[in-house]
Amino acid sequence: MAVRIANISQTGDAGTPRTAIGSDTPAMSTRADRANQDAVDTARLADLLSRASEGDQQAWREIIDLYARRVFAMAQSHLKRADLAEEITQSVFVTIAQKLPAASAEGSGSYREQGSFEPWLFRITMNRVRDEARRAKRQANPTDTQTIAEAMPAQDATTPDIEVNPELTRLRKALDLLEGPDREIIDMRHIGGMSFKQIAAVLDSPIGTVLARHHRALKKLRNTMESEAFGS
Amino acid sequence: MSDHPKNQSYQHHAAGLTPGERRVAHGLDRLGDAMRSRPDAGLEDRLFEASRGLLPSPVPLNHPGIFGAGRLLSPARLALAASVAIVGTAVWLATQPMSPSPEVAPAGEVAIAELQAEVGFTLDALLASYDVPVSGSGSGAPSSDDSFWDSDAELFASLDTEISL
Repeated sequence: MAVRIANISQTGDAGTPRTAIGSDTPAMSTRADRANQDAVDTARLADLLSRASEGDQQAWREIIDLYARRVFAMAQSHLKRADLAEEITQSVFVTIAQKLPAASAEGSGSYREQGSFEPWLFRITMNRVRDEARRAKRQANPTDTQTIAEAMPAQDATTPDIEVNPELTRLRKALDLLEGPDREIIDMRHIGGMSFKQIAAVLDSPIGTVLARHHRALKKLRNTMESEAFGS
Repeated sequence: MSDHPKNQSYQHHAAGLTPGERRVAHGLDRLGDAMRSRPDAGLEDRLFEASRGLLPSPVPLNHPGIFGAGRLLSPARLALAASVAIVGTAVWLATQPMSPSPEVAPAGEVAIAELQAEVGFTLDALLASYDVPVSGSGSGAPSSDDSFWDSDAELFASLDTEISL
């Protein structure tokens, strides 16, 4: 998927999560390098999961270090509150820790197969995020999307990098107006750093449908940012 | 990689984006990078502390040997050893003679000798009361000879004579 990196990201983000385990998007690497890296990462993940399911706390800590920020970022982007995002993240890892031994014992159908752990993890994450968003929406009872975006404490979701970059600030505001499946797919792809293949697994949709929805979401964001009334 | 159908779909997806959409996608990637690298000291520590207790108990890689100090000194093993020692001592005591004495003859032999002496004494007393001489029985000891029974015949004959008189 070097083409996607070259045409879309253009950042050579070799260190980002999308180039990690289960990714479909290498940065500046050859096909052989990419295959080798995937094999190492997959083997490492399988080893970590196996050890953690047997009670190895060091392995469990490494799994947390690998995925906590991605889960947290997805939750924070969707819920726009750091405290809620941490709550969701904690509940996700508690669930994983509880189910890890049983899932490990399921044999060939377990998460340890290549690429199956991350969809499991992010499916749990998205379910928790949706539940929390529905609960918050019931409590807030807002009148329209604009009100929702303004009512949310968006400063929790900002970072110094975003604050000093007007383009990213505008993008962040436009993203806050995006909702539903379009918002989910953007969060999973760009905030959570998931591959399209993983997103298709989480949403249980054909990959072509996922690509089409992603394209539609990008178009909506671009239209929002290019509108005369936005960001002025 | 372009020969794989999925990669072709990714390429078509990327190629189908307008420059404005690519710019948005690029911005979203940067936004995601910023959010994932957001300094939040201790997030992983808190998650680890909240979930570590839910992992199963680790399986020890090196099982202690059955002769290890820990195994030998376990309460169950100590109790078992004490029980075996107590039962063993009780069995040993039960199988020991109460007052062993090598000079005393076996109990069976003593009883037979006493019985023979008593029978001989009674017989002598009986014969003396009838004043009948008994051959070979002067000492009162029983005789195993045939003459002993002949003497008995004589005895009974003399008794018959005495009674008839």
